[in-house]
Amino acid sequence: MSNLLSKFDNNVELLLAKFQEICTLSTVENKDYEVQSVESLQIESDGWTIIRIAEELLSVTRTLKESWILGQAKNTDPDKDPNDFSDAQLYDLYEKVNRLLDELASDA
Amino acid sequence: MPFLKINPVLTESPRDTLENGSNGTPANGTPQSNGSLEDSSLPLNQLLAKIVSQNGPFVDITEESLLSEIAGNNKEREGKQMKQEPTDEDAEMEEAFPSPGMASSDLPSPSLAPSASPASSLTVEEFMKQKEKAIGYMDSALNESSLSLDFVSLLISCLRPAAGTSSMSPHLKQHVKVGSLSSGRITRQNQQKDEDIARDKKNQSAGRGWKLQSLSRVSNDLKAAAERLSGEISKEKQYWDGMMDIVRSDEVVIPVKSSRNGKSAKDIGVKYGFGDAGSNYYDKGIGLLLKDRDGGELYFERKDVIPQVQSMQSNGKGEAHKVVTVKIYKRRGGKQDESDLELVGESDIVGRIPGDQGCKVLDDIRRARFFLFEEELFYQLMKEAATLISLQVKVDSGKIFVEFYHIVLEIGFASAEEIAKEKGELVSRNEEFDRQADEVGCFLRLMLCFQHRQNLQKRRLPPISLCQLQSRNQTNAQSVLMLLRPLITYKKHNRTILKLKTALKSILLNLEAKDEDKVNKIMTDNFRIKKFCNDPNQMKRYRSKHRLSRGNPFIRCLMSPLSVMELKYKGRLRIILELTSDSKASFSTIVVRVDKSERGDGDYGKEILDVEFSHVREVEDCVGWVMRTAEKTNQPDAERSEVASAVANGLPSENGLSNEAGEVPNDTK
Repeated sequence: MSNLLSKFDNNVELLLAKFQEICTLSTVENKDYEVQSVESLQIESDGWTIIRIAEELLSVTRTLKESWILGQAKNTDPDKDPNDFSDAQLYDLYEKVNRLLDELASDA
Repeated sequence: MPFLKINPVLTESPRDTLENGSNGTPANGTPQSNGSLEDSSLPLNQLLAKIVSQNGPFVDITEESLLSEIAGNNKEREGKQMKQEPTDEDAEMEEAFPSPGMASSDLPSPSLAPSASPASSLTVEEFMKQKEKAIGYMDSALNESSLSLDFVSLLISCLRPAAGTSSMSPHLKQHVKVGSLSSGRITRQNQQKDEDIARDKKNQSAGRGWKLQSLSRVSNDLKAAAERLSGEISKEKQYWDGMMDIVRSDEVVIPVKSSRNGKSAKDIGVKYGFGDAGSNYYDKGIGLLLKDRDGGELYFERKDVIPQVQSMQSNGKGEAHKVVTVKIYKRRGGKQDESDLELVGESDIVGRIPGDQGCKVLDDIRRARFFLFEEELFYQLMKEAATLISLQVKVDSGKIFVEFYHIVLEIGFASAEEIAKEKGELVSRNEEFDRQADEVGCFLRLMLCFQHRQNLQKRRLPPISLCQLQSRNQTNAQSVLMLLRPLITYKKHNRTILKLKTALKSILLNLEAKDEDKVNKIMTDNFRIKKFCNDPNQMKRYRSKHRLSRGNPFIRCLMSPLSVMELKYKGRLRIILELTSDSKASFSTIVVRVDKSERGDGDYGKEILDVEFSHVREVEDCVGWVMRTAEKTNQPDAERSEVASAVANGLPSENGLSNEAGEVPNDTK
């Protein structure tokens, strides 16, 4: 769980950092050709990183859902447990089974 | 120095003569020291011309005249020296040390005074000393000059850095900034050159363009990604909504490792099978809940346990959707032939296939569960049928045939489409038989459920110690699955009861001179039958409380049925037939007990017969014989005891032997 939380935090932090980086990189201050071109490429790579991080965040939610769905213990009401029959039910069943058996056994 | 010293000596005489000549007093020959000083500076040709003009042509000069002149000069000089020594020394000194590169004011003139003594008086030591001093002066002068050069270079470097630095000393370069007088230099920013400004402008505009381009590209990417991801999210939502439906409907959701398209993945699966419900079938019924790539909808897919099975099922399409069908055939004639059979009834299982209830996935799961159960049912039926050959159960071309007295039960495994196709061909339908076939199917399914439950209960038992394991294993091996067996056993049991009833009836008919009414009356009044009395639940303490012993509703199906029949005949004889049909073997045992009432008042105190048979025919013979004998002898006790003893010994008395009754059974006790 803490693993997920830290992953979440890290991703959000990284996302913001990358966004900030894009803003910083988009300034044009007496920079050389080379620097400018590298920076423009870096802007693009930062954009892709943002997308990737967003996808990762989605996977975090998916993991959460999965572990929630798979990790929950079923609470079954003992009164409604389908595997538990009351005596009356069992007797009823007994009679019915016997009736069925008799009916089948007797030649039509 | 020596040159300088010699030089005046050499030039002295002409100079002196010149001076003398210029002075116009050549006879005196008193040359002026100032004049000689000037003469010495004259070039040679001028000097010669001067000498000639003063002293006349060299032809007139004789040795005597020269000697007298020198002598006269010497006298004059000696006299002069007494008066004018200091000035002479100064002049000499100035002549000895001309300083073209030096500032003459810097020279310490007094220190030279001693050295300015006449050249002849100079010693070597003094010369060396002088030389040292001179070198020292030269060094300092060089130093001074280089300092001034540095200074000048520094000044120049302000305007022409290249020219300045080239002549600068390394020390200065190191410590003082070029172009400055050891202080910072402030250049004005806006004094850039035009081309620099233009270049920067160009840089900026290009950079701006590039950045604008990448920003727009990134924004497009982000937009596309956002759209894609929001689509993903909606798909995901749909998937999880479907998942929640499944969780809410109490399906068991488990993590499953699956391998699709060659790569293994972790998926969410659902347990739709009966593995946890006690089934020992190889297919535990685990399905995958997968996400549809396009729509994001949840869909259900069976996970095949064994790859071979998968390929098998994919070959035979629809193999997985088969159901167990029960058909009832009736024999037309008495022939034991397949062609003799006529289909009279068929179970309707197709109607029980779970239909759509709105949620596709849940419907799929339900259907898969249903078909899995059918699959297992047929598998277990086949397995059981193989052990039931002794009970007229045949397995032929994937179908099970169970022979009953007048009907044949066919249990098959067919897909719903096949059933629907065959149904059209069915001509003679009998609702009664249809119902019966349905009931048979129902019963078989119930039995499988029950077996599952039993397995589950067995699993819940605490483990037993190893020393007991062996005996336990034996009992386990014996407890085979029973699906068809109870049906057959009970059918046979009932059949035997009927046969026995008919046998008793026929005996009575014989005894009562074929009077059917009377016999019927006897049968209704004095014949009692109690079926399945070994069922513990038939005991009063359970029956009255409507409770089951050991809580097993299927107990009757497991045990070997035991029925008791009692026939009282004319208050004198009581015949008790105990019929046990063994559920594990194919035979029945019939115990015949005959009691007799001494006084005919219903008090059957005397037991005259207790024998066990395995065939109805034998029972009929035996009972018929006993009844007839009892009827004939009827009275005396002695005879009766005779009969009893005879029966007990297996040797019927001669007079008690009835020809009609046929043989006397051998297996009397």
